[in-house]
Amino acid sequence: MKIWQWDDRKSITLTRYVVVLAILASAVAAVCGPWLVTWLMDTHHLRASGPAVGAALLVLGYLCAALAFWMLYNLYRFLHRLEQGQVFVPQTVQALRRISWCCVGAALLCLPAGVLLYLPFAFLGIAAGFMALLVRVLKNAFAQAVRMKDELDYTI
Amino acid sequence: MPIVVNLDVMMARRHKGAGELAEEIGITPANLSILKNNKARAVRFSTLEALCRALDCQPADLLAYVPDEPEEKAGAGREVSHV
Repeated sequence: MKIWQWDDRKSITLTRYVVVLAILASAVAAVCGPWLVTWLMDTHHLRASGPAVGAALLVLGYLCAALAFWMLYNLYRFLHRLEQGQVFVPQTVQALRRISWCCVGAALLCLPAGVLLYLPFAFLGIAAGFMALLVRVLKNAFAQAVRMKDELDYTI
Repeated sequence: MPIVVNLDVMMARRHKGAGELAEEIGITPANLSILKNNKARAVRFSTLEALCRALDCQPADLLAYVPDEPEEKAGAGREVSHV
């Protein structure tokens, strides 16, 4: 009887499926944007009121969705390269750079929204900022690794 | 790169082909080509030893130091970096 064993390859595949699910969930949230904004305004106390608030929340949501799609796409491509054994390559560094800037963008959008509209957005913004920092450090580490691999590849 | 590898000269003197030499010293023909075309960044002592043994020569017969021109030095090593 063949025993099913967990390994790195299966882990990467699982992560890829989760990223695909996240992309689908983001797409659903983007489509349901107007309803989500209406629900938020009806069920939660916002710091500001008026018709412009709904529009502002919708714009904020779609901007964050665009950043999320771009980030998830880069994450998916990163994982695809990992599956192919391409780990320390310049494209990985580029993907991590883009992901970090997406997180920075989300933080810059959510922080003012949290202060002006709905406080929990500020916490989202802080979380996005920390994630950006984490990914930046990873990107720097990968950039060094790419340089070291390049040096090693040309050592005969 | 100031260090030049004069492998072609020694290979011609000893009448050894690239494939034959690569197999003899235990490296791939692609790596030997990198060495011959001065694209290598570093050479292991073990590889240098194997080359000297296979070609019956000294390291000085294979390696030469050719200093860079001042203009080349100024422009060299400039990598484009993104934030």
